[in-house]
Amino acid sequence: MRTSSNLESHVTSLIQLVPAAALLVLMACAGLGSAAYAAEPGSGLQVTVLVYSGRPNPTFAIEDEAGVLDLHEALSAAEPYADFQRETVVPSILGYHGLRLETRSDAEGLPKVILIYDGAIELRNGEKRFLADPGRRLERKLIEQAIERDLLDETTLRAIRQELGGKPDNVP
Amino acid sequence: MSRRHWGMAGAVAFLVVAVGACCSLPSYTPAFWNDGGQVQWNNNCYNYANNKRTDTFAQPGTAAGSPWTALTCPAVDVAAVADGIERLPASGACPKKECRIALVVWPGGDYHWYRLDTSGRWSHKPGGTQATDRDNSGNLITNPETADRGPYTDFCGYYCSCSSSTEGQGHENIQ
Repeated sequence: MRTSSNLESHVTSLIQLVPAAALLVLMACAGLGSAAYAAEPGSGLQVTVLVYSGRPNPTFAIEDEAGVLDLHEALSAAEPYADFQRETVVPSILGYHGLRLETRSDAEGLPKVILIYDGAIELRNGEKRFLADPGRRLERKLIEQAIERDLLDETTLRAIRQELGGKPDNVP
Repeated sequence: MSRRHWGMAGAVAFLVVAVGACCSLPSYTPAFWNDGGQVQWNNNCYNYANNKRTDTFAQPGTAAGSPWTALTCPAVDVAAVADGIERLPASGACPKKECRIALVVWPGGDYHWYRLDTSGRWSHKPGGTQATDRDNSGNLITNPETADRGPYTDFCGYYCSCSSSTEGQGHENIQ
């Protein structure tokens, strides 16, 4: 009886461990599929909206795995900008002049610095590479994220909208 | 060492300090600021106009303990003057061979500064972007009052800044 009771107790304990084990397996699988984009403390990207000259520019962080993956997918799908003529995509002008993304660690598998403006993307990781951003899709998407975070006051938003040639998609 | 020698040494030391702090006009040397990294992205128009690298995106009034409180000409003017920047006298000449700089404001949005180089032309550094001697239309800046300044529609006035012929080594106290 005692042996039978011990066996029963072990089986009950094992059954209780099944959900936890399943969760561990799922987490491991998720990690395997996107090991390069694991959201570790201090990882992710800092996005700076380049709009001011004197005062500090608005910034926000993309720290969640989905956000980093979205960006990685957008960059992976972007075509090279073969005949880009200028030294950098960010012009030295007053008013809105693009976005600067800086990766906080090397874990994301992304370039250290990414500059985006007016249909062009500049990747800086030792050397420069230029990609196309047709319809300023990625640029608009990141501006929308800044708006969702309530980072842009009305005066600033008006200037950005004017420069983007209309209201950014899905902007209220 | 005799008292006379000490006196001479003191005078020499004073001269060295005085000469070191002499204001001089800057040349247009964008390469110093346009490194695409630490210097470029951490120094703004206020740093550039005063020709002083701080790597802090310097703000008018911060060094004096009274940073700007509004994005208007009067508010930024008061903050910059607190830092020791002098308003251009009515004579139109900076009294101590300082560099002439100019303040403009995007009402409620931001402020911006230009500086006059030894070339006789004006140059500026819009935020973390590269320093340039061209305006928003791509024209060389001969007059900041008439240059294409985008949304910075208010021209506030001219000031005198103790600059340096060595890039990034201006003598004003800004932070």
